[in-house]
Amino acid sequence: MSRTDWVQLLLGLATPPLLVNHVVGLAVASHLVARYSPDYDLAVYWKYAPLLALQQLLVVVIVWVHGAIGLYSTLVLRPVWPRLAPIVIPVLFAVPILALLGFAHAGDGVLARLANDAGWRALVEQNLRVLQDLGHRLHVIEAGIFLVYGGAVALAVGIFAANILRRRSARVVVSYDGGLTAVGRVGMSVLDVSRANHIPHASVCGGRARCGTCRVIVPAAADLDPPAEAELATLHRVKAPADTRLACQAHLLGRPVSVRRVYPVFVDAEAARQPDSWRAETEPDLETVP
Amino acid sequence: MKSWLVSLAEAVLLLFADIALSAADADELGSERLTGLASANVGANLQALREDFALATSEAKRLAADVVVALNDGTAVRSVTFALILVVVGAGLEWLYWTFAAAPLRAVINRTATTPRHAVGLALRRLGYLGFGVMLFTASIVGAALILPWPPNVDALVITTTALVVAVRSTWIIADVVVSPYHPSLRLVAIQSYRSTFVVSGVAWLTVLAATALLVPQLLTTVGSAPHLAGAVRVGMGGLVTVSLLAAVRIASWREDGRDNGRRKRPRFPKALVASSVIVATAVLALIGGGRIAAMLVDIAIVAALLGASKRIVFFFWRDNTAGDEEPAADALPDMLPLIVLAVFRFVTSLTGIAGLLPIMRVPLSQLTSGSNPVAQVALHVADTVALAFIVYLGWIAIRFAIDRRLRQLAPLDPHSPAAENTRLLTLLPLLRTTLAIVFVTLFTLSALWTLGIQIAPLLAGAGIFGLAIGFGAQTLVRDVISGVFFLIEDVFRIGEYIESGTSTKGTVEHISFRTVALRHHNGPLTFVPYGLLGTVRNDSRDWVIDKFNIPLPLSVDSEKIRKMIKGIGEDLALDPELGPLIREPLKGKLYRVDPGIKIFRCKFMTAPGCQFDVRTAALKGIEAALVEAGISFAGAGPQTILIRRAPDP
Repeated sequence: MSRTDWVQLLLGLATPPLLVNHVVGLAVASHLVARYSPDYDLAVYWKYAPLLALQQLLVVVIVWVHGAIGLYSTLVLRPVWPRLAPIVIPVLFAVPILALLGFAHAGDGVLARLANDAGWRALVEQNLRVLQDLGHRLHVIEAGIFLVYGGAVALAVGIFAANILRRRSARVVVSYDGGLTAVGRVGMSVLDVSRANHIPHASVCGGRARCGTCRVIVPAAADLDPPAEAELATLHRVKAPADTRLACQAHLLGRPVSVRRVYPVFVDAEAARQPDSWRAETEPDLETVP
Repeated sequence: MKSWLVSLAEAVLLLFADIALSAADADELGSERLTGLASANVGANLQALREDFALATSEAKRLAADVVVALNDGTAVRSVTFALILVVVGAGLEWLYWTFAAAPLRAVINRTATTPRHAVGLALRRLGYLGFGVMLFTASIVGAALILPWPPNVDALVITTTALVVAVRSTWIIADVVVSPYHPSLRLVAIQSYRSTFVVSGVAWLTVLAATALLVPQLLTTVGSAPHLAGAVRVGMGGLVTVSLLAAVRIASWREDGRDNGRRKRPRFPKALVASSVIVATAVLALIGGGRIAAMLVDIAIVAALLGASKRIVFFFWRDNTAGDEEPAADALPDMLPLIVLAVFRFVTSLTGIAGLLPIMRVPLSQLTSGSNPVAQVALHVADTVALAFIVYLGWIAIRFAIDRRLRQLAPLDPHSPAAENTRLLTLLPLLRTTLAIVFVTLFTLSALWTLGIQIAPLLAGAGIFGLAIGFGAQTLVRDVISGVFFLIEDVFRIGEYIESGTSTKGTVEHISFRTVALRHHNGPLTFVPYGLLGTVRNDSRDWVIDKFNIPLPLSVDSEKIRKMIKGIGEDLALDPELGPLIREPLKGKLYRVDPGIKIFRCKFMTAPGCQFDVRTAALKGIEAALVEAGISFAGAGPQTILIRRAPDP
């Protein structure tokens, strides 16, 4: 996985626990109690529970970064991206900044209203008391959610780790053009092997079978798992010849594999958008690491 | 062994110098701990340290209470909101930059440098790409921070945090570019691959510590008004830096020892020990209040380490020309650029070190120019001397390379090869080189003494008297040197010439020094003859030689026919591709004497000096072959003896 993938994964995993408070405090509580009117959360965040505010701010940014990475890496591979970029990129920046600025501005208003509007303050405090009475039940619900979520994450991580441990000993040698060789394990994709061994290997989409830049030329009888639908679609889209595979999707099965990279490592998204523009280089000049 | 230890040390020691300097700064800012270099009061300093630690807890509690207040009145929430905006702006703009710059950067990183100098160019390009990213990050964060309405005191916190992040990222980038993990050909220092990642992470870690030690106490003092907590943090981080540095030195030397065991036994300079001592001494000095002395120590240690490693550092970039890290041999220097770069490197290092001492010593600028401060005076004198050494060295390598290049153009310096053109230059240039070296060293020594303020007039007078005494005691020596000068001026012999002096001393001139000439006898022994004893010199290697030899033939041969035959052989020899060019006058023969029973033909030819033996051999071979073909045999010895007895002289 690339660095961006790790960032996205961790951000994605961090989102639910950070959000639980907010959801339980507002939606679940209003569901439980009829006279609870949760239109005061700004006041809570700015005055009564500032730590929750920090938590929610973090969630906003995390979710946005997670989404922006995903949106960008999908859109950038589309041929329309050059026309779309001048609109999308300012929006990508403007949304979180405006949201945060708006939050800060609203905070001023809320603090002023709390100071001046005694009736509203009483309402807010009454609601808070309701919440306090509910405190125990809410905590139980929260704890339950955390438990389930933590269990699911732990299970996923456990399976992942177990797989790695299981395959740790089954080593596979992958040889590249330019006389390079690398050692991987059964189950790793060719692209994973390249990354683990610091072998220059182009991959614009980061190993999602979308861009086709990581593709390699392999002998017909290479010991790799058969291509899936997504891979075949991408290979078809970039008009790749029959003896090519996407390195990110070709997983090692056990016997040594010999591959030839097609694109130089410094290829950019343009190659995925316009596969024809790069096809002139049938024999690309791949520089090798001594 | 490798310069990597030194390069690591130099990188981290620089950071360390900053900390020491900041400690010195803080000393002067915070209290009256250190009023001067001489009056460093250890006891008071230790007392202040104790106070720092005693009061740090209460100050920390007060700060925590402040934070709680800030949380409740909305300041903290607002600050975090704004900080997140900064993160979005800074990181986002840099990310946008990388969507364009990542591909070119990958292209540079995955190239293979052909030479270390090529690697420098590639490293600069990488530094450009990476550095622009950090610059963009910094500029956007600072720009956005200027626009936002920060709550009071938070701006200082933001500036400090930004500075910390930028400092760590910059050092990281530089270390990464210099060391280049995973790309050995792009590396700018001699370091093994398995160490490169270690160095990068070590430098990053030390930067984090050093930047924290530098920035956080300042923040605590100015914004948090908690000077004692600041002192405690400084001591703590300084301790961490010290421990990390010691660990780095230990790991480095341990691995080095492990690799070298059994391979090389000769004693080496105990780099690890010295580095550890310097680190510990600096830490202790900084702790007890000798911040300035510590900074001086660090400054001197860095300069010494850099000067010690300068040759390896500079020659690393010309490794491809010299095969290995060793200094190229004196007569096989590829060009003088590395040496000039080395000189410039050393000069700049020394001057920077001296310049670094001035702020440490807190010399005011006015005193620096008027020269009234003794420290500044000493520093300036040392700087003058270094500059003088630099100029002298540059002049010396310029002259030496001019001479060496001329020598190499003339011929390889082999006295036994066939005579070449311009042997006089070959003889005089090495002598000139030695003379100039002595002149340069003498001039430099005298000038340096003069620059340092030592009177040299008495010294010169003393040397005169001393020289006189030696002159009386060593008349022979003087005679030898003087005769040598005249031998050389009159061009009596040159390197490679075969000379005979007196009756017994003869040989090829191999080496000429001030007092003696080394003659290689054709049987092998090398004779060193003082010029004074050379006397009459017979030079066998000048212009031409004439060689004569006799051929005894029977009386019955036709003299005219033999003469023509020998002349024909001579003409053939003159056309020979090898011997022809050496022959000045071709072989000729004529009837020389008629003895009873023998006609003696005398042959003669003229060749270049030293070639007569080869030509004679070839001539005899040709004559013999021609005689055999004509059916004539050489006059035998047997019958002639009988004839002489039968017809004695009247």
